[in-house]
Amino acid sequence: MSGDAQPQEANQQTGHDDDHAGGHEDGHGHSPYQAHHFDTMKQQFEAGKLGMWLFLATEVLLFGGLFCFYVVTKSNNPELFKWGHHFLDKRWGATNTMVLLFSSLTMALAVREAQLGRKKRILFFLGMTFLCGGAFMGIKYIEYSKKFHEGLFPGQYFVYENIIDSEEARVHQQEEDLLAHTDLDLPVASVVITDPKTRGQVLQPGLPPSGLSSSAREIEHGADDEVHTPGLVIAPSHLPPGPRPANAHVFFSIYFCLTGLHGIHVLIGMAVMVWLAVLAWQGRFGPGYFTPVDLGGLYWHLVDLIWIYLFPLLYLVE
Amino acid sequence: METILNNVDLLILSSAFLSLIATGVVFNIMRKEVTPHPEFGHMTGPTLLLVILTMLLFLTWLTVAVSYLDLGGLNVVVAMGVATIKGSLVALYFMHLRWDRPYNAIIFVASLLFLGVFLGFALLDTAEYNPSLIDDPFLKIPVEQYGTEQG
Repeated sequence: MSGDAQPQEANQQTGHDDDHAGGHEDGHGHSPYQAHHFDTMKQQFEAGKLGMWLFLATEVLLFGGLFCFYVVTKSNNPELFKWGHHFLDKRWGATNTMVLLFSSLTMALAVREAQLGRKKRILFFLGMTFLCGGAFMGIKYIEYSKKFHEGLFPGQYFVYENIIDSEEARVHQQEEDLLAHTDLDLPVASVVITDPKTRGQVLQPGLPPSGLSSSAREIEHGADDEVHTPGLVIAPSHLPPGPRPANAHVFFSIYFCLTGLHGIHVLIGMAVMVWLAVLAWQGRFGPGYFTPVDLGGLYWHLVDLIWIYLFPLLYLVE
Repeated sequence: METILNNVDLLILSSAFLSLIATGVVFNIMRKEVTPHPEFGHMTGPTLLLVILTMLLFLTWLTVAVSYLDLGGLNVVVAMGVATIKGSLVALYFMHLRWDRPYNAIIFVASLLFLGVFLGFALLDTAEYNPSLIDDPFLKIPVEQYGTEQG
């Protein structure tokens, strides 16, 4: 290396001269951040950005493999998604979407402040972005722990059926729904009062006699239901309306692969925010040098962009 | 319309309003700012960014609201269409693609095109195969029963 020092210096010298001749130099010499293989900071910035976009293209294709998993499974097993869709709460999904969109705004503002070189504001907006990422992961934690609690694990760890007798619970819930939605104007028949096995329906005025239920067998075995219901882990209203498909675990493999990989990206993005905040704290960013913030922002926006597609695909589309 | 009003949850609306209020506070501080022309790169004004965020939040609300309606096959089309509009807004304005040199956009669009090729070719003949040639090792389901629920 020491042998190369002399020619490098000479090159830098000529580079200077070229810049002055071309009139691109802004007049106060080289920025300390300019690598010697770039003519100008502008060229360095645009080369860095081009490289970042190449990386983002590989990210798109990385998620593309999982999107392919989703699309092929969905085209072959549409009923699987009709069923699994009911385990995802679109309220949490929508909240997470808005949190990420808002964090994208704060990130864009952090880039702007870096371009203006205002240290305190860069730190503020980077902090906001970090907190939004944390909120996103917090909501993901709530969603995941609910699924783990219900035994909805991916692949071979899927134990949903083993925790509760899901099919029976579903039929039971359908009965309840049916009774609740039957015409309430019907008079309370005396049959209900004389029948002791009607699960306390006598106490609820306005409910139709048990004979109107679609499944008389269910009512007759009312005492058994009392035994089964306490074992129910899932809130009955969250039970899907159809029978469980044989390959139900595949849906949760897709769900955890897609959201898990995305979650890892959010965590990496949060680490990038910390790194950028350290650089900003050292006062490195200004009108002449803001490339790290800009590229970190591009990464964060891409993570947001992927979630924009994940949200409707997993939570909204049946 | 009533279905929408009854079902779109308070949580969604409140988070949207919270983020709007927060942005309002931020922009009240920054409203008198002039956006200069930087030496390189593009600087986006805060007002434009707020407009874009508002559009994104509205589109999120819209796509959630539409999901409560049963439009048959149109549901997927609407959800994907709205997602594409949102994605374009993020890419064009937050990611500065609108003002960048075209190379970055070419790389990005090319990656999406190749993703399309990937998905398209995967979908071409996927219906021609059995779901599995071996019994499910985890659930002990014979192959014949594996796809019985298919429509």
